[in-house]
Amino acid sequence: MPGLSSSHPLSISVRAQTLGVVTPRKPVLSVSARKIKDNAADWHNLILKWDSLNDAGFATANAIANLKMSLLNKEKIELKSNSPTSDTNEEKPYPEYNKELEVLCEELHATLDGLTKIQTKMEKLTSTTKGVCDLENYHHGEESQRPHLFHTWPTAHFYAVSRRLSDSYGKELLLKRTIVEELAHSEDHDLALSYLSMWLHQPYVESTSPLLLEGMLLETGHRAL
Amino acid sequence: MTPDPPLVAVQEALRKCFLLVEEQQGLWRSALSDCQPLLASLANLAEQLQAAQNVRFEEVPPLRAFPDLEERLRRKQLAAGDTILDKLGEKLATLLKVRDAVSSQVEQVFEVYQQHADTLGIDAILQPSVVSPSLADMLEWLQDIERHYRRRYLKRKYLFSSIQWGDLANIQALPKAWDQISEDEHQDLVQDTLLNVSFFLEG
Repeated sequence: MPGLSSSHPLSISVRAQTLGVVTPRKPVLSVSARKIKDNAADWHNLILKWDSLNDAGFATANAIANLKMSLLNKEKIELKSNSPTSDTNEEKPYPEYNKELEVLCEELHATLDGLTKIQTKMEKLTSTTKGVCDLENYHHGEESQRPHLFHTWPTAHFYAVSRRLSDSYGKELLLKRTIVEELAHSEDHDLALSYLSMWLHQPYVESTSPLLLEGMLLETGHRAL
Repeated sequence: MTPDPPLVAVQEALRKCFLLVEEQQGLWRSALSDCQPLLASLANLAEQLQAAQNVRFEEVPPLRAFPDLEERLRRKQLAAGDTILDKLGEKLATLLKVRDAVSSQVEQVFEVYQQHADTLGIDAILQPSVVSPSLADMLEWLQDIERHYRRRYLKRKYLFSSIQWGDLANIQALPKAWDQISEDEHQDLVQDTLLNVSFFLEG
């Protein structure tokens, strides 16, 4: 499975099962396990919400790009037809102001806000997972072998996956922020189309992300093994 | 007049074949229509790839904060493209199945015909009736249909094999080229033939 470190032979989990002794730590561990399991479900939901906002944002961004390009074309035509000897005293409209464009941009900003909130929640999940790891470290001290909460993943691995996911979505958010700021001002068709493409394909959301999430869901029992 | 067993045998083989053609034509048409949105997506993707190639990322100040962006974007675009190509490959495989099914069935009809050709007599072969075209005509039409599928498949397979990410202009021209194949060759050959034998099939 991608993302898993290679040092988890079956023997460790067998040994963990034979530890068996009911210690006062047990309740703390099961609280931790519940926390991790809930986090996995939250991850799944957050990513679904992100994808849905991403789609909506793409539709808006697409409309912005199309409108911008048609406005630019209109401008070019107007510039060509305006001659110094023209009798009409038309005032050239302020090139970038357009009510429709403004509304669309506001829509895109709102979508970006939604995505920002989601990524903030992702950070929170990562930090609570870190908390579970820290608690486990406190209880187990220097022990390198400790019982797994679920099947094969050490608790630290949940944190590693969480960290990786929230970092990648964080980077993606930075890119989307840039796109939102620049799209309506792009004068170049290729650049505008590239911004759209960036929004759609999400270069910083790793293609392994769905696998990482699936791994987490399988491990915590949300998906049948 | 008692029905002539060899004649009946050939007629039955023909009926079976035409019915198969009718069924396969449905599969063929459905696979073709599934291809259109896929080709449109592919052409769109090629446009995106081209646009990104035209942009000098290092000269766009807001994008300087993302040094690996160009490569990452391209990778994602190509991955999306490969997904579409896989789906197109599946559609092409369906077209191949149709071609092979029709070829195989037509071959069987001709085998049956060969078995009985001598006993049938030239009149029985060439004579149409009120409810049936002549055996000779129907056999010829089946050959035409078989050839039709074979050639159309080949043209589409050739077009599909011409797709490569190094030639984005070609990919953008794909939807039109694909539709052209449908327009060029006897679009309604199969439909018209089936119409011609509709009374015969009900017999």
